[in-house]
Amino acid sequence: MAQPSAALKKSFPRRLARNYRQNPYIYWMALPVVLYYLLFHYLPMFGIVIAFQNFRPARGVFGSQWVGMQNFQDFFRSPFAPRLIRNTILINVYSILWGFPAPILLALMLNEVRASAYKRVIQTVSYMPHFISLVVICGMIKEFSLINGLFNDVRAFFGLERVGILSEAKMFRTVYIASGIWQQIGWGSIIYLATLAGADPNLYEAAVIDGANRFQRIIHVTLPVLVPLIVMQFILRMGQMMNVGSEKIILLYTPLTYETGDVISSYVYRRGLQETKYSLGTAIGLFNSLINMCLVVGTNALSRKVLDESLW
Amino acid sequence: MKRKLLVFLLVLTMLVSASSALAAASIDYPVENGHTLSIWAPLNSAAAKKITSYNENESFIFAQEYTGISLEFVHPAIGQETESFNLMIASEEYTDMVTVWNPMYPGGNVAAVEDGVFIDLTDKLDEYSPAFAEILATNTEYWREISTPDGRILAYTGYKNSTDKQEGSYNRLQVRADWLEESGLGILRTIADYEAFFQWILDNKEGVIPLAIEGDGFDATLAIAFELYEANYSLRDGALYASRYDPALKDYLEMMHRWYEKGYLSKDFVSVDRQNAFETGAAAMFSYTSVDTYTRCASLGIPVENLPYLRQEEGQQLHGFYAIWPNNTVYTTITTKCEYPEEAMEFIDFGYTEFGANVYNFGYPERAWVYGEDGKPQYTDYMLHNPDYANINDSTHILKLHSGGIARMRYSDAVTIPDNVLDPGCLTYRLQWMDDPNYDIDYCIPSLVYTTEDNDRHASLWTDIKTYSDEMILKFITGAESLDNFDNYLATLKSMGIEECLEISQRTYDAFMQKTPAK
Repeated sequence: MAQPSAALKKSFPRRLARNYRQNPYIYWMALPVVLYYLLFHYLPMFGIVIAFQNFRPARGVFGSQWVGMQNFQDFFRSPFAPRLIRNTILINVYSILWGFPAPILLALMLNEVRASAYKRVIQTVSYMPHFISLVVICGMIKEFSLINGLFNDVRAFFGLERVGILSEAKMFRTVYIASGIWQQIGWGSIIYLATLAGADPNLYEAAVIDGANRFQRIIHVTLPVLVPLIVMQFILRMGQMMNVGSEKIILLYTPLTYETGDVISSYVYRRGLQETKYSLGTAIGLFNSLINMCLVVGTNALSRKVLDESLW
Repeated sequence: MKRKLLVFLLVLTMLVSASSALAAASIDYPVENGHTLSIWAPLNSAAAKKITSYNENESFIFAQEYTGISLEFVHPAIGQETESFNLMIASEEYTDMVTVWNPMYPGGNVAAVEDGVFIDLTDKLDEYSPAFAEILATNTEYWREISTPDGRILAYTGYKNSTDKQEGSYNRLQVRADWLEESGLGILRTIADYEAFFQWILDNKEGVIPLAIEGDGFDATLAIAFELYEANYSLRDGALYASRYDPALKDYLEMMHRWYEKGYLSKDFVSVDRQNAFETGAAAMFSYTSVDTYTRCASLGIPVENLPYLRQEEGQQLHGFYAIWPNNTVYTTITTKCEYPEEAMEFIDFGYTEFGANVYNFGYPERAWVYGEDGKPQYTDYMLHNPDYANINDSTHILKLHSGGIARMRYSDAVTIPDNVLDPGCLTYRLQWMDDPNYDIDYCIPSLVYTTEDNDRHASLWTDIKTYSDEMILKFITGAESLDNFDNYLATLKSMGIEECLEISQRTYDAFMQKTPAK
């Protein structure tokens, strides 16, 4: 008891030196990770200053003109800003609504499959699309969505009218999110299946003895095992609320679907990269990151209060 | 006696100055102690099928041998030219020279020189690029086009001195000749003719889309009937106007919406590959470049025909959307990282001499071409019937320089494209309907060079305007937005600042027309 308090009284460097002598290898193991974060995540933060400049690459960070909040004003005054923010949030809300539970459901279902060979085939087939390049996926979606494409063949089979699926603003989110689920469901379920593999068999045995049927076992045994993981995944997912990958949007949208499909990242791509307005892009990125951070902190606090589960 | 002496002296000075002018008028190639210069240039995608670098292009091989200056090409990945260029600028590791289709530096070449990326060529031109300087001195129109608002020259550009500015109208409506004949409608000229044909296709050709157009809904070959153009600005009665903001746009959109509703356009025309649709027989008509369509359809065995431009009524005076200006795009600039800018200037100047232009336009001398009896270059079998190049289009980019690479003097396609030389039908096809008496190019304006400030302001307004207008044009066509709201559309554009854009451009255009070379 006396020892820790004595240690606490000592200065930080002395405690560090002492701890290092006790566990030298742990410090060496941590070094590359610390360096990685310093080099690739903390050092580049310096670049945020260009959000407050009219940055011209040839003049550099020190030679470019300071413009204060001009870039932020430019974005928020743009007639498209409200729509961009709305579309970004809506795509994310719907993605979480439909896309977040999908791999959990798949994992729960696969967990109940007893035929091992069948289970493996399903798993492999379902995570295969994850490895196909996004450009190819979008090429397939475009081809299938044509008037004479696969999706319209299916519609026609059921007596529905053929429509230009990717030319209709109201269908854009559906196509975007459904294809996202299709591509990522198998891959996303792996982490849940891995957790379930470590579930205590005694719990299931006890549940069976208590007379629980299959469905009740899923609800009362399997699901609680997953809760900590689900909460963690959810909190991290909330940190992506203002992000929608620009690549897939740009590959799929047309001016006809800007109404629902144009998001912050695609706007940043058009203005920031194509027109090389790096400052504007950085300003919008900074704005997004601030909101994302607030959401992560908020969700985490909420979860700690309600579920007693949290990241930190 | 005194007077005679004076005359003699005068003649002598004139002779001396004339001979010194002559000496300056050409550079003695090969230059002494030539170095290797790096040059960033997009590689033409057709050339990329066979070669990995323009160092394998025979025109460049000869130019390097002849000038004594070697080139080291840096080619960006095809389709990523802009990203690659921006990356090069951001990394501050520029090549000695840079060739682009259109100025890529944000803010244009003026900003690039201000930021210390490219060098100002104005003062050195007479000494190190006499052939280019000579062209600038004799062709005021060209000088106006490529000089900055304050009269400086910052880049070499492709130069085409065409006596016929209309020659370049290469985009036309292409129609299935067999179906057109079957329909018995003859040559289609007016909107009514076209609609009759489209209806005939719908009634007689099951599953065929009558018309495939450009995905943005703004098809130049159709919009011309309404004096609308894809270019940002056109000129009418001395004043610039923007097609996106023109009342006539409503008439065009009404027609397109009608065609869309009647099924003349595919419901998903936005995402349809029109060339593919036409070549697979899924579309009866599409707008495309005529030479390309002619050769491709000839090899595929599809009967195809060119149509005259769409008119609202017979005899309507049309104002073309494309004219050949002396500035034939392609900009070559010299960067501040170049150690031997004078040598770079001397190398580029070769392309503006008559012999150099022959080398780039026709290929390796005495191999790909020889001087004909009329003193003009003529292709040899090495170019026209080369067993290594089954497809003549490939040799166009490898045995000679067709486009891109470096800024230089360019001759008319009619004499330089081997296709045209080999198959007169091809040239005839391209020139078809060129004798239209009710056609002029009075509404075209050359590309405007803005000052850095104007450019920044114009670009920041125009991007949002274009995004909004692109979206609305398609919505009006598909009916997602009713044309009753067309006035709202114009009002929104106005609130987005389109009038300020017009004002900036009008001012720039007026200054452009007034400026004259200092000399």
